Amino acid sequence: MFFPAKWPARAVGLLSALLVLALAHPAWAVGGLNNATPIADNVDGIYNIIYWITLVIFVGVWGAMAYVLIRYRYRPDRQAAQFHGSTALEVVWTIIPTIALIVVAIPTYKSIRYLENVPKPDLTVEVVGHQFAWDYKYSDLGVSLYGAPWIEAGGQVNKGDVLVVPARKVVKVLISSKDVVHDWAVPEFGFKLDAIPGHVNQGWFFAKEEGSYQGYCMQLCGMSHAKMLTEVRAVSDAEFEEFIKSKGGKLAPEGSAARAEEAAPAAAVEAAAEVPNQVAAKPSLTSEADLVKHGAEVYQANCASCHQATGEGIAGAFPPLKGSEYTTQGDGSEHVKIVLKGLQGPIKVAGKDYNGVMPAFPQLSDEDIASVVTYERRSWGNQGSVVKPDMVKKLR
Amino acid sequence: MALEHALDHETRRKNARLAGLLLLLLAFMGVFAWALVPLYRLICERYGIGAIPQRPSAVVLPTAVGDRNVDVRFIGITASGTPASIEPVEEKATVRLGETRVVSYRFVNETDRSRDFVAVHSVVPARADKKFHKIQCFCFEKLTLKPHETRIEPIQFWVDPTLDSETREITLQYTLYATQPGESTVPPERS
Amino acid sequence: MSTTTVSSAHAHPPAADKPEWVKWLTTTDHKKIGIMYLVTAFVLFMVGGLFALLVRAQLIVPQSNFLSGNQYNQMVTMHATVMIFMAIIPLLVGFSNFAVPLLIGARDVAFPRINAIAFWLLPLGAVLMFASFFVPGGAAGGGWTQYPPLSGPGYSGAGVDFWILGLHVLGVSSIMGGLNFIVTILNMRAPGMTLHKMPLLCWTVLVQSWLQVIATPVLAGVLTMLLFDRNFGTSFFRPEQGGDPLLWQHLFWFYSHPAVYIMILPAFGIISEILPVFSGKPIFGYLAIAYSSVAIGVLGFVVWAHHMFATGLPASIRTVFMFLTMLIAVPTGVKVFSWVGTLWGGNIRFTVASLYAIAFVAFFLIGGLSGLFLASIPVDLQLTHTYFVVAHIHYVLFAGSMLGIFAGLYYWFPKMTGRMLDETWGKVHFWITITSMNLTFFPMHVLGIMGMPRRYYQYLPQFADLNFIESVSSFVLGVAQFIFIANVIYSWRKGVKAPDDPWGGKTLEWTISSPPPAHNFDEIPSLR
Repeated sequence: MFFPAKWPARAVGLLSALLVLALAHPAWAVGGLNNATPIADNVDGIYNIIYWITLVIFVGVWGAMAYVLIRYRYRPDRQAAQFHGSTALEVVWTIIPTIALIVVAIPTYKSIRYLENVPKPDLTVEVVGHQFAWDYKYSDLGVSLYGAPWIEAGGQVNKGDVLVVPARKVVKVLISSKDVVHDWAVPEFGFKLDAIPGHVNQGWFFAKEEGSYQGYCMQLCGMSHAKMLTEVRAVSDAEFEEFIKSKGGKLAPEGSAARAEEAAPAAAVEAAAEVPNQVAAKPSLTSEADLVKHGAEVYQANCASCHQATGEGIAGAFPPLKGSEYTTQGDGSEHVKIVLKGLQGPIKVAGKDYNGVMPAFPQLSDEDIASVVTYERRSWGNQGSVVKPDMVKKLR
Repeated sequence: MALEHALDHETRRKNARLAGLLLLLLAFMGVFAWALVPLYRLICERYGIGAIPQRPSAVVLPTAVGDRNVDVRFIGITASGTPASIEPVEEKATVRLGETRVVSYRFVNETDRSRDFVAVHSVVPARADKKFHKIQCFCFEKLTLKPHETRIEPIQFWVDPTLDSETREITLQYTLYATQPGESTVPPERS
Repeated sequence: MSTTTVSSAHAHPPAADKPEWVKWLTTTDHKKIGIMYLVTAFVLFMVGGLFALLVRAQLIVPQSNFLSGNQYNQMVTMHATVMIFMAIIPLLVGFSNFAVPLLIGARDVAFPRINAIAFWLLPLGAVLMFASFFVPGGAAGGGWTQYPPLSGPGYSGAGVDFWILGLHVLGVSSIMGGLNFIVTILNMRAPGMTLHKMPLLCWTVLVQSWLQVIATPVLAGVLTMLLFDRNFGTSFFRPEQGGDPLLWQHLFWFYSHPAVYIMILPAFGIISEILPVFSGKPIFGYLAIAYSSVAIGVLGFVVWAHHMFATGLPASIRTVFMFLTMLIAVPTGVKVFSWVGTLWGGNIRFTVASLYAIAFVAFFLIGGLSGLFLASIPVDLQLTHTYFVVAHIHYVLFAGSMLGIFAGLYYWFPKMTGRMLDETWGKVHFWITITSMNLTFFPMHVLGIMGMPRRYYQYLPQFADLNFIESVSSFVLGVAQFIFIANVIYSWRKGVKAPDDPWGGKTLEWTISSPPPAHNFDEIPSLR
């Protein structure tokens, strides 16, 4: 009924040999994957700690089992030792794994913090997944790339557009989806992050060297999930600039958006929207010159988006302030009330109908409101009255 | 089905009692499962985990101005099958903490029928979500756009001075979906 | 030994001559129900295995067109769904059914009729599941995890609705069984059998049953929410109406993580019964094994988000889940060491049952260790969604649960049927199974590290060699199971008659005949 005693020993020996051979496969060194980013190096380090700990446990348990199965195999004259346990041993083998876990947890925790804090990016790219390709938009450079499913036909792979980034620069990615859940992953970067519709996720990477790096969609997203591949190509700064220019974009200095369209209002808003770095000292605003000067700043921050830097508004949507009866007539109290409390419903401005919603700005100070109202009443050729902070205070 | 082994009365009583308690537990877990839906929202809002918000939070006005600036990036994407486009008018803004700013998004209805749309927003990093206060926005509002209409809608916001010092850039994303009563927003039969 | 007769009526009039098959169809006897569970679930295991072989056939070369992307997704989805809900869980429930009342000295479970109903829900659920292949669009193809929006309205067909309904039915079955066993184990142990004298299989079934009762309603809830989103215009998971796809993931994993412990705990129990018998000495660390099972059950409820490390959850939340996940390694490790301690100093007999039990310890260990890699968030971000996870899953579920199930089948077959399985063919089954199992699943660790994504029906050329080895091995693994089936069919009728106690067992089922009489014990045993 029982197997001849030598078989288990041989079998254990054979299996162990096979496993050792398997463990020696070079792919265990993180799959022979190139570590292309510091994050990947980091992951590699933690992986190695875990690998050695698990190897010790594995060899320990298998070694003990191999010994036991040979040494204590059935013999008719043997008496099995009838012990129920050993508290000492149980304590030891509870504490040692706990220590091993702590050893793993410490560098792991450091690594999590490192990944979570996105350093100041040199480049930001919007990565948008959809069935079944990745689109890339270089947010500040006016370039959009459209991917395509990687279909192999006749030995050729149609890759669609690859993501070109400068090497040795911090690239921040803003990842989202237009339809179902996808996942943008570049194993050589140690990068993986889900693309969830309705959500935006952010991550970053820093390619240490130029090269082409395989990317994948790693969340089942439908029938061509396996075709939703992508590639990240890290290139020199010069090549990157070439690339952007070739796609009709413009490399711009950090902080301002240079877009390919003539966007005069937008650019003006941007350029003027630099907020001074010190807390603005509250000016004593009584003279028209002071009010208008401060009012220009408040206007850019709060009003220009809709009413435009030119004061001309947008036909059918936002009424003009230039040449409007609201900004040129009366003592300004109506004007102030609109800024303080907002305005809704059909109105007529300079002969045209509008029916929008003007938000309220009660959080602006008396000085800010007086300044911006005065600015609006005295700019673009308007000859309206000056408004002082105490009028605003009375009208709240 | 004849019960083959009748149990004595006392055991049956004990069994029925325990079974009753377990059924209560089951009922509790059933309710708990459904309660997890609002609980999820509550916990995410309380701890700033950044789930997709469902309704506008109460309008909070700023009371104090902070001592540094933060960059805010605006992005917009259109969900698949939505015949419209959304684009931020301003792609970036540098704002002082505690000061309000108004930016806007441009919507274009690309069809020749009047259509309803809705924009779902998301803020990243998640810990900045609670600190990004919108005084006025088009979130949760149905946007009805006429055929081929271009509309610009403002967002009035401010960033709380209690924003953690490590956050340098906040990103606000809108995803535009088309909705029509009774109509699904996604293309048919994609499997 | 004093005998306190607990039951009043154990003699029953001989049944009017009903044909055998009707007796089986209408039985409320836990032993017959247990056997029906085992047979039905094993058939379903082979069906799930067939789906796996179709998957492996597709993957034998990098750019095969044997299956379309759509068909492949259905195979992958249904393979997992069948294996989890229609194979492993019911196979384990089959053992609970057959063995637990015997182990505690009872005549049956607390609610035998509920027990029967719970069994019949299994084939009903299976029918609903398989019906999904015939609806327009085919079966569900979003993976067994069915993340919306892919599983939601507009992105998938009615197959998902059938999948949901089938799972509802199977979930009810699971809950009924769980409730039954909690009551049985807590209330119906023989006099003098305190919890600390109860066999370890009963401990693990008890914890498993609590998990079924507590966690399955959450699954039912989230499935219903998806059903509503798909058919009644609600928006639990649809962003355009203020829903959130992440909500599904949280709720789904809230059940599905405890589910993995539902799938392994009774297997731990089976091993803990078998090893002492063939080692000739008591289990090492009875209390440690019992209470570590409880610890695993409790901790299992607070680690669900480790399946979501790549979703963009804030680092602080992920870190909490990571620490809790690492904690679970400790009670699991304790068991492995205890099992080795059980063999140490013994007089070890190698029968097929003990070979499977020993192999369980050796190979489940690998599954547990790969879990450690996945617990560390940065490493998980590298390895999740790749074949490394597929390797981990299959080591814990095949090298773990299934080997434990085979051990139990070879061990209790004599008791169930009154016949011995053929040991020589059993050993052939064993050696072919564990060799091909390792050749199929071990290389998946390497593929994952190399970056091969899971759920890909075609893959890049650098993954070809290992995939080829895995596919060939998997065919061998599949075919080898027919050796077991043939052994069962032959032995059930023509096997050597089994004595009451062929193995030298120490638990109560070996004190009665093989198979046991309908009433189990002539007199309820007492341990006082």
